[in-house]
Amino acid sequence: MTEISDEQIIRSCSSEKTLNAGFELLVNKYQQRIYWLIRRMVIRHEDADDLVQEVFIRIFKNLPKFRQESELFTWIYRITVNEVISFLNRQKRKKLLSLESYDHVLEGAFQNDPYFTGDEIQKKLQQALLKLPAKQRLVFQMKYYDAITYEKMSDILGTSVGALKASYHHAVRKIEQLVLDH
Amino acid sequence: MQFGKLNNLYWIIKPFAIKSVKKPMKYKKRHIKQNKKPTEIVPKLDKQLKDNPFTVPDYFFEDQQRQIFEKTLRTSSRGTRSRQQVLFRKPIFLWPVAGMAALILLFIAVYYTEDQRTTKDYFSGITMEQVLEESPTDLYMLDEDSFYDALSLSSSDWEPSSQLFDLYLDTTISGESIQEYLIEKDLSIDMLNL
Repeated sequence: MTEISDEQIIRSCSSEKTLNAGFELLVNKYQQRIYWLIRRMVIRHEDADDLVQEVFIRIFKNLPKFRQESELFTWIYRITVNEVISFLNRQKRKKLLSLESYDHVLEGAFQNDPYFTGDEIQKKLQQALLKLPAKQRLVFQMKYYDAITYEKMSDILGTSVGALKASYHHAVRKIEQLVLDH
Repeated sequence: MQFGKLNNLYWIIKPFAIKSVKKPMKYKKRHIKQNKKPTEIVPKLDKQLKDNPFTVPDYFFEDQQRQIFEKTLRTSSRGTRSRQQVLFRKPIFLWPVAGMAALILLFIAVYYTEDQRTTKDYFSGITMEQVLEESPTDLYMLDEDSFYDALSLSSSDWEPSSQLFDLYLDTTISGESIQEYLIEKDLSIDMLNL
């Protein structure tokens, strides 16, 4: 089965008659990709579920404003990244009032998560990832798991390719160190 | 001479130029020494680490899709179209709406002007005799001032014509004649206190 193109989705969404069908195609194509990106960032399944729904509601509301100045894929990922970053900031602000840090909460969350089936090494990698700053973690996830090119990442995050490469290599070195140290 | 200047400039820039080239070269060489690609982490574990360690409940994505469509597509059918778009989407809706609006305006215009007619205007169009004969209860609608106003408007050309007033105004008739008249007509003397 061939994957539906972004152009086809945009064409469907641009007409009022086919908007619903177009949006269904968009959800079918991007739902899982967005879910996994969010899940790896927020760890908890329930949080990821809520965020994915919020992302798609935002996408639907803003579809008429989408001017095709960037690719649909880039635009969707930008919305997702913004949602994730603001969610993490919100959680950090909430946790400022308590004694427990948010990173510590996340570590505990994935250790007790019934939907985490990884082995010891994967657990180590996830623990190491949680020690990275949010934006560096995001760059690592997008490059390592989703294989997004630096150029596309640059469009999504609004950062230069050079800075992204540096960020990724810093992340790799830190993770390497953390995994091997354990 | 000029060449000499450029030559000097080259020797000033050269140390910086070499430094800026050397840094990434050193960095690359270190990875080559360690037999690692710069984009590869812990090469022996690479494949294993890329496997997704997270899972989701059964039928989660199907349920989530349903929830997303419920929250977006259902609200869009109610909320995203403006009232103007709904009303004037097809010309077929335009004519009944315009007709209804015209009828409402006509009704308001007629009712409004009818209502604006005052009781004073009403009484000015008819004589007091007509009012008393046809609908004497209408007089209750008036307060005292309005009654006298209406009376003055409607009775400006009114002349007493009844026999009783003729009798009362005629000074040549004697008191006895009046009394006889009253007995004949079976009327009380109080009737003259007009």
